[in-house]
Amino acid sequence: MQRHPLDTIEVVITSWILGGGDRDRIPTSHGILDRALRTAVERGAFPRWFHDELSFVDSRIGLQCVELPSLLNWAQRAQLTTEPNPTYHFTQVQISRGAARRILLELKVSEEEAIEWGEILREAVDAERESMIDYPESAIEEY
Amino acid sequence: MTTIDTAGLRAALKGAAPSLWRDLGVLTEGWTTPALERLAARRSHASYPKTFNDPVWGVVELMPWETVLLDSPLLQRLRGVRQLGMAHLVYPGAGHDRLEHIKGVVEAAERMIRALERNADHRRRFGEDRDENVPQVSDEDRYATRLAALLHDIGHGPFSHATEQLIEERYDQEFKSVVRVLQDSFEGVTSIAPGEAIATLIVLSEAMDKVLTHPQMAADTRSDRLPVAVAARILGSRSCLKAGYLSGIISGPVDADKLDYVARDCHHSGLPLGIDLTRLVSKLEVVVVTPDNAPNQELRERAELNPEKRFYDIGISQTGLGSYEQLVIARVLLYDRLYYHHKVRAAEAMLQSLIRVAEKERKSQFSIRDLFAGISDDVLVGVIGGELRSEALEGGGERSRVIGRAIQVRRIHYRAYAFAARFIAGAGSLPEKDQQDTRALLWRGLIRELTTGSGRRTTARKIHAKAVQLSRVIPALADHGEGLEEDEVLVDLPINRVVVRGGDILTRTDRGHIGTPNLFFDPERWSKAYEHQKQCGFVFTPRRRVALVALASRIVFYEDFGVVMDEQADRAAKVTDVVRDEWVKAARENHLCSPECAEVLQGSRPRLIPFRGVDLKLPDDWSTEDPGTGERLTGEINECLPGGLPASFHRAVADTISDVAPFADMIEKSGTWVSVERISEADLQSKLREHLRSRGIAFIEGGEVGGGETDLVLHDRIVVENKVGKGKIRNPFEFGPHYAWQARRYSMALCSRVAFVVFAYRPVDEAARFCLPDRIRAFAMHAAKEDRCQIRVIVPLGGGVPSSAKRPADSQDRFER
Repeated sequence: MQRHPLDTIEVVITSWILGGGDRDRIPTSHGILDRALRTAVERGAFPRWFHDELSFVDSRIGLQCVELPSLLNWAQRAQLTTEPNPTYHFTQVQISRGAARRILLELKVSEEEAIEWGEILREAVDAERESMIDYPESAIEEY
Repeated sequence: MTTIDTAGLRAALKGAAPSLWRDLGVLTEGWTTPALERLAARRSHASYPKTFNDPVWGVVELMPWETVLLDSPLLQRLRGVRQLGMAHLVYPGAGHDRLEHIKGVVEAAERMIRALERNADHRRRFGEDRDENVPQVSDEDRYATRLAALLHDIGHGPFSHATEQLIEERYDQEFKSVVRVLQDSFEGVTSIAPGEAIATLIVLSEAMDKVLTHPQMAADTRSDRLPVAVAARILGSRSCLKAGYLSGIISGPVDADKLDYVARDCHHSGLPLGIDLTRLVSKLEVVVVTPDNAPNQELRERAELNPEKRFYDIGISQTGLGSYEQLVIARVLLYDRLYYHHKVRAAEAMLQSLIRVAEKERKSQFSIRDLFAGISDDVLVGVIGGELRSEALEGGGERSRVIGRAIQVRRIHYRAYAFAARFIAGAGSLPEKDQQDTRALLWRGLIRELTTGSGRRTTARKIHAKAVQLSRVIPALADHGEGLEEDEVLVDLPINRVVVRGGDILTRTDRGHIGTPNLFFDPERWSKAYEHQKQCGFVFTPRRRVALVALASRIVFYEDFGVVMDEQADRAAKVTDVVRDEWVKAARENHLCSPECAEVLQGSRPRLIPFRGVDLKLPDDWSTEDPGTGERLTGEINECLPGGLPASFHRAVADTISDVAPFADMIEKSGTWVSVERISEADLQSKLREHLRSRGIAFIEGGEVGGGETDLVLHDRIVVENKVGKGKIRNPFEFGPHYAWQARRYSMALCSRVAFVVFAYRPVDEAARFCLPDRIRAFAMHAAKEDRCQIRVIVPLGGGVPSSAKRPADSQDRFER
């Protein structure tokens, strides 16, 4: 089944809202989200079809999710997030938990699953961010 | 240096994309034959490099073998392919072609190579961390990079990006397979645009192999390795490269392609955006990545794997970041002011329409061989339009001629309707927390449909059909609709082709740390400008039809997507006051739009989020028994609340339905009250309370609202009144009209336009005991002046066990003869 790119990013954003622990900023710079997504996928988070929509490459600057820049752009286009700075340090989620639940209904994903995936993603993001502490020049602002 | 098995790669590509491989192979054979003949007639080193004057770089120098390729149809085909599609119709100077651009890219690449060579030399000779092992740029690296610069755009069809989408749609699966093969074969390749994939397939074709591996090609190098090396450079891979720091020169965050096209597009369009090319190039540097300074695991591992425990990549000095920012900003502004100019978009939409209409008229699709036939853009419009004849391809008929002619004489369509999330009417007046949700939920349905080519065409057809109908019943619009053709209504919503992602390049600090750069400039204004232009869609039509198509678009967008755009959208499309209220009224009277639509378009009713079946979570069994239950209920609610609801109310209502409907389900299935003839309201409330608690649903009980005590309040704003009917009741939905008014009083205090009534009753007979999916209904309170809705959930009492059911007295069972 042909998936719209919005499906993929909506799963990420809604999971983050519901299971991300009350944080409305998703760090998107320095490969943090790229790595965290790979970790989350490896830990079985997100639906099966989702796994086929992402590919990961060991790029010039390290691991990158090939589709992520485009997906983040879709999130912005769909009013799910804003990116108030061009450095892409973080993306600001701007929909509520309630709106996220409504989107999940259409995606045929249960709230419980999304919460679980959000928790896995949040843990992975925190771990990646932690691993950057040794590199002060790459330090990113709090999210 | 990693190498690639060329034969194996060719076999994989052929298997992944048989049609593309075959068609491009045939084309390349024809394009390269003259080049092969020239190479065969030459002696090695027999001629000097050639120089050309260039408006951006001053002088461009090409190697002898490069001029052989330049003079062949392979590259001459790009002479008439305009770099900016139809932008010259708005910016008269912006008519430069891709041939000019590729020569500029060769020069930009050469300057980047020299800057990096110089920096590599400095790294070998100076500094406390000097490194004598920084590799030299070999001839093979240099020639492959230059050839890649020359060939990187051979995958572009006519009108540049205007036909790219068309080609991508036609070979969608093959492109996806090719991308997978290339990402698996070449190291470090991220995204690959269709044009890059085609260029790579051409470079790796058998026909091109004969040219690139010819002994006279790229003198003094192992030419048998050239095809994959050139392909690797086009893709931005680090494979097949000795001096690893050249990997991103043709495709990377700061690449020769961008340096040239940003500068060249600014120059020709007359947009003075100020890019400091000289400083930017001079600040490129060789970054030495070691296990100690690598900023992440992958780079650390890559350094560890190398025998020298290090690798070398392209980077930028921290003092060059300002110039890098200038380039990024200039590129974004070019999108705003040039590439996405509404007239350019209208012309490109007309061009795509011309191709489709011509295909219909000639009864066959244009193949990639047709589109890459080597006909210049201007001539191709005439050929596809059927005004000119070509042996290479057959054009369309009469209708194509009209469109082609309109493009040629710049009779470009006008904007009749603008749509964007920020234009959605009504959202701005909501509390801030509701605004974003409302916009997002309304907008997502629309962009899902209109970001696909087929979705845009379907909506355009609907607008056209509506416009034709409107012109027949509204005399003032009769002229506007006379002879209106389907291709005269075009829906356009630009998809950002290139995602600007700052910081995908390495930089080195004075302490030797490696990382990605932090960029600084006014982010708020930048992103607002970025969003403003990117997120605006238009419906285009010929000037004389604007008013008619504006009205038809408004109706279709309302009926199909549930959205109305505000006056800002009218200003964006320059159609303020173009649509008259009496036309909307006439459309309503002639049943060309619903009464709700008319009221919303006339501004007498706000439009927010409507309900859809998918929004409701009803018990599974109900949907199994009657799959239309959700749609029926949402239809009833929408009838009561034709203006829709703001996001948070919408959600609260949907959630309350999901909370309360299972109560009716549970009571029936458990037989709780099957033997009870009478319960009190307190009993009902107690049972409902127990049910909600068991589901973990928060509620307020007996809260003081509006001077009285409510039964229950769910989700902070939804009143649930519990009622028990007296006596035997035939129609529980009509019983106790005052219940709704009581609920209304409480709801008014909560600023809510929806109230729930859970009603327990004794059915007069079995027929009055409704099936489960029918035990919930929504009603408008017609006597109330405002839109208000009562949702009633019924709970029958008594009746005994199922085996005691009796046939109703007035039943006319068909199975009883």
